Amino acid sequence: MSKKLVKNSVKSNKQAKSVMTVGEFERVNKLKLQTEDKSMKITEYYNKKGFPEFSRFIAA
Amino acid sequence: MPQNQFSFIPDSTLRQSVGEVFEHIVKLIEIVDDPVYPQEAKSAFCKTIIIHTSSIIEALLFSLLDARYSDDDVKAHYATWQLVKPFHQLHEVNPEHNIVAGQYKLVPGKLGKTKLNFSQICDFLKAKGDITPEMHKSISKVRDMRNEQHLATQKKLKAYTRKDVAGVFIIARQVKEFVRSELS
Repeated sequence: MSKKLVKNSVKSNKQAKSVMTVGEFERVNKLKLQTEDKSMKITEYYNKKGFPEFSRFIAA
Repeated sequence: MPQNQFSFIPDSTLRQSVGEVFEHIVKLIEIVDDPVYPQEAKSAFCKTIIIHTSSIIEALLFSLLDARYSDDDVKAHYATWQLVKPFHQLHEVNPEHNIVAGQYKLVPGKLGKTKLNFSQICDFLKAKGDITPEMHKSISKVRDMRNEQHLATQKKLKAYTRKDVAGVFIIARQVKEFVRSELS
């Protein structure tokens, strides 16, 4: 794999792992989700809500 | 969130549009299981989520196409051989079959990139080897579901469930991961 591809791959992985918290998600989207735990990862929120596939879509 | 989610989309207008559609999906997921709504409404919410998610998939694939190909590339892909007038009839075999002499020219297609529909975007990317036949097949399933918004062609009433939505999200994730890595 070329250096550029490795660099891009690392960059992509970092982007994928930088998942927002519920609080950050609410602020950006200007809406309120159905939890009081604002520090919860947004992916965890959707897992608990029964939409794990949406959680993975967000994290992709 | 929309900016972070789809920051890899180069075109700012398209990125913003995708972000707005993503917000609609977020809002619909919040109410899709709300007990105040009847089952018919929940089915309609699921259908709308599917349509919106499908639009995001289309936009992601268009971003890839737009980054790699020009309008001329698309027009060349849709070029067809056409018999140019005037031509001379040499022999009439029957009313549906003529032998003629004339010029046969390759005419570029008329569609530019922005005129391609979802199906054509998928077919173009598959023909160019940008997406695999397997990914094309998966996306086609989503496209078929989106086309169910055209009521006139439906033979029976259909109810949409979380299972349908989940299937579309799985394919959307695959496409998002793929396009993000290709455009990064």
